Amino acid sequence: MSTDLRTLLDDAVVDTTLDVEAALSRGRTLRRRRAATQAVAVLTLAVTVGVGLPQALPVTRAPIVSSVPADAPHPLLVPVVDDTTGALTVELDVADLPDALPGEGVALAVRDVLAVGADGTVVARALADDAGTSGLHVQAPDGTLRQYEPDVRITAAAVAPDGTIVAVGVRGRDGVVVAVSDGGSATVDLGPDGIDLSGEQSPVQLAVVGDAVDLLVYEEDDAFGRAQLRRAPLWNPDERLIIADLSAATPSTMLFPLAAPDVPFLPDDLVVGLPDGRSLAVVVTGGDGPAGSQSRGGGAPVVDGVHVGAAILDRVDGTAVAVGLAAHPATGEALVVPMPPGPEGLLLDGVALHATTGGALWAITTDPSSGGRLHRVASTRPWAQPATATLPRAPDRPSGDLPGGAVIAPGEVAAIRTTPAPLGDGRVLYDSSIPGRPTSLLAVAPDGTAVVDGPDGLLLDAPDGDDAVAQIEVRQLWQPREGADGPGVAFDTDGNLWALADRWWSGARYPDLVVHRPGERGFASVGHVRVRHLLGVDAPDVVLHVQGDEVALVGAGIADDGTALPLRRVVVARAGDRIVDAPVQRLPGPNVIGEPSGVRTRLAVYGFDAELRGPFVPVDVVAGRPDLRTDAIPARATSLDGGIVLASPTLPSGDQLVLAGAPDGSTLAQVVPPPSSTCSRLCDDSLAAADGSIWLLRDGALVPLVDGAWRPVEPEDDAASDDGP
Amino acid sequence: MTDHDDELVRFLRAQHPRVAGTLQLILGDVDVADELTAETMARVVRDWRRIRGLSAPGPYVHRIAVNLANSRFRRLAAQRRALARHGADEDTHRDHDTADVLAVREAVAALPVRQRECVALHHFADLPTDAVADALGIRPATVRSHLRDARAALRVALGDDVDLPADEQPRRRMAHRPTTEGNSA
Repeated sequence: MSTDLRTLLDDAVVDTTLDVEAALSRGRTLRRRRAATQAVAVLTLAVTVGVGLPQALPVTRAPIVSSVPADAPHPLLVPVVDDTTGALTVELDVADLPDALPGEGVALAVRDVLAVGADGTVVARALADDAGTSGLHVQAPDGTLRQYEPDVRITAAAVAPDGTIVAVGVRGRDGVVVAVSDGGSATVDLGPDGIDLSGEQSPVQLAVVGDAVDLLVYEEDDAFGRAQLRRAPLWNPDERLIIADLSAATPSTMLFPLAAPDVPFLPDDLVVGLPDGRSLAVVVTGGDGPAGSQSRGGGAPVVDGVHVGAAILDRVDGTAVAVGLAAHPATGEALVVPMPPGPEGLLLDGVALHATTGGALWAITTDPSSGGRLHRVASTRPWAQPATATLPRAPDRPSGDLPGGAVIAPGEVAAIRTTPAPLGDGRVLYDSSIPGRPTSLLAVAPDGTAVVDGPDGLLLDAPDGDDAVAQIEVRQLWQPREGADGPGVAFDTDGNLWALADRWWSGARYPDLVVHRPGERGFASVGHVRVRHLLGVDAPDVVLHVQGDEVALVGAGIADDGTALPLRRVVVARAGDRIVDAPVQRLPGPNVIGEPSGVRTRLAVYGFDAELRGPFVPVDVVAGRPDLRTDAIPARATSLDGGIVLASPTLPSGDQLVLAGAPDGSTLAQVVPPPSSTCSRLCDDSLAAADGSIWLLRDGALVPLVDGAWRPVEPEDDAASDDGP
Repeated sequence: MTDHDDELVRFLRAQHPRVAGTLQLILGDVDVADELTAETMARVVRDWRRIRGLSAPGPYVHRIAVNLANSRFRRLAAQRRALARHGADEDTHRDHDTADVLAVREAVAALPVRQRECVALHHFADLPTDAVADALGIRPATVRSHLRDARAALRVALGDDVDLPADEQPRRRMAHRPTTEGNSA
């Protein structure tokens, strides 16, 4: 008698029982964890740029001046309790936020963040088409995304203290001032005869001065080889938009010619603004100069509110003048430091300058033949003796290191107040013998410690005058892509130095979040940060941002499908060393971070759940010890949602260390010979096979394969005997 | 327990045996199927607000299960490779079933994965071909083609023991199965 198929299938399956409570519990856990996964703080917008579209205008990138504090009330803040660690995390839920701005047919990408308000409001410029007229994009802290004045090409923007957004740009060829307040916008057309606000010829910036906003335009006067800063009030809370006659705006007292008449250059960048409203213009060259001249320059970072910058001005005769600028955070007084070129016949290839609140001014010079040199060019409150100054010509300066005495001759330029002396000890703190590697000064800690990206790693120099320069073994800072600016380094309030290091594992490159603590040597790895996953596959604008004890990445990019991702601020760690957003990613090889060295290796091992997320578990292991017991891996970490922990680093001896975490919190490990070609890696995430031993995590227990069968390890045998499994 | 929870629990109870059986047929491993069924149920809980508003929540749940099964297949492939290298017997669990049951399991397990999925979802879980297509992300015509091929293969494997009309339509489940509320496809 035949039986229908359904009956046969019914008979073939085994009845199982639903554990309702378990399903409810696990489901709710998954819901919380998903909220945590989605919890990235969206702080800015996506704006458009595509292949063939105009590049971003050379407007200075606004510093991230604010972010949403973790403990602040926020409509999208989601408290998440980690079931594994019990830690409370507060993040922004972006589940309902738009992922991209409209831009049909155009690859979207975050480009220019123009300003960030104190409440987290982000203002960005969009370049949606060839005309770049997609207007001003504003994202409120609640995720609301709005576009204003879509027919205006925005050049610069600022957020006034009362939240009003003020921007300038061009509509067609006419200058436009835009104010956005309470969700609405107003514009003032300045007509075709005003100052060029396109930013194409003259850098334009807005500066918040007290509760008002000023417009600053940097212009060069070709006839006299002078540069000037034109300043005009633009907005204040009483009069709102001020229709300023910009063409008649009196050049501010900050007018200063940076170069002698025979040093022609076109300004390429401009940084303005100080916390107290005093302004300083910093010119970073890089634009096209007249025939025979070339200009190059470095960045213009902000340290403790001090705007600093540097420029190298190449003369038409082939010599160079390097110029550094800094401003005192309290008084706004400018310091101008002329920096001579390198040895005769060599042009400086980079200058960076930093100032600290203590008054020290630092400079890095690099030339391609002799490597980098770090100079402390001013050290003892040079602001105290303001004086007028001008720039010496290169032939007037001796070649070689920076001089230690007065180098600024008083007289010619009355508008610039600076100091004639002293300008520091001029000592060379670091003199690399490795040529060719660009060297830059990355950051200066609140205590004055300077961080230099040297050819052999990061260098630290404390301000106490100690000649010893600590070198930290971060060989290479991570970059989003070859040649791109990386997220840099950042200090937290405790003086810990955070960086993203470039790591390699199994042929793959990934960013490793590392931290250096005062008094310790070297960096400790905190964990692999999924930058591309979090911020986009091509994140052009990644910034390491430390606020309080939060270490975050700010950036955005283009997703795999070509759509833009919103710019996000993702908290990746806290000062306590723990990655709070579990931004870990499955690596192509074993799930291990850390490079064994010596006999003791610190590994970072993590487990995965079904969504490739998991806790980060640092483990100390002793190489070459088959009976090693390591720091216990938390039980939950090893069996998180069915995930497992496996590790297989290669030891200095060439042997392979197979490490696995057991659900009871212990770790199992054994040292095995180098893997054979048939099993050169751990087999997926269910098995660990290197020397012929196989481990399977099944039903929450680590089970070895013995004589062809899976045999659970009894607790007393858990200590990974000398014989191995 | 709230009304909201009551509705959820009723849905879970209705879906569980169907999902469990479907996964058993697809995976050929009761333990793994049970594990993935639990995971499917957990995801239903996680996404309940959304799922309860769907016009056809049952097929959607089966889609979750099939996706989990496919992920599992990838792991199993690695496991099988490793086991093969070491000569271990993959099947470690016991069976005390009848020869007929074993024959059906073997026959279903011998089907290509896609055919197996179609058979499980259509002939066991009672999903119409459109819903099967939606769950598998393929066209209904492709589902019907897979079903034809699968039935032909099963007919060869099981011989006259199985009644497999070419135009067989899904029928109501056997009486001992729980009802399938919420599974309106």
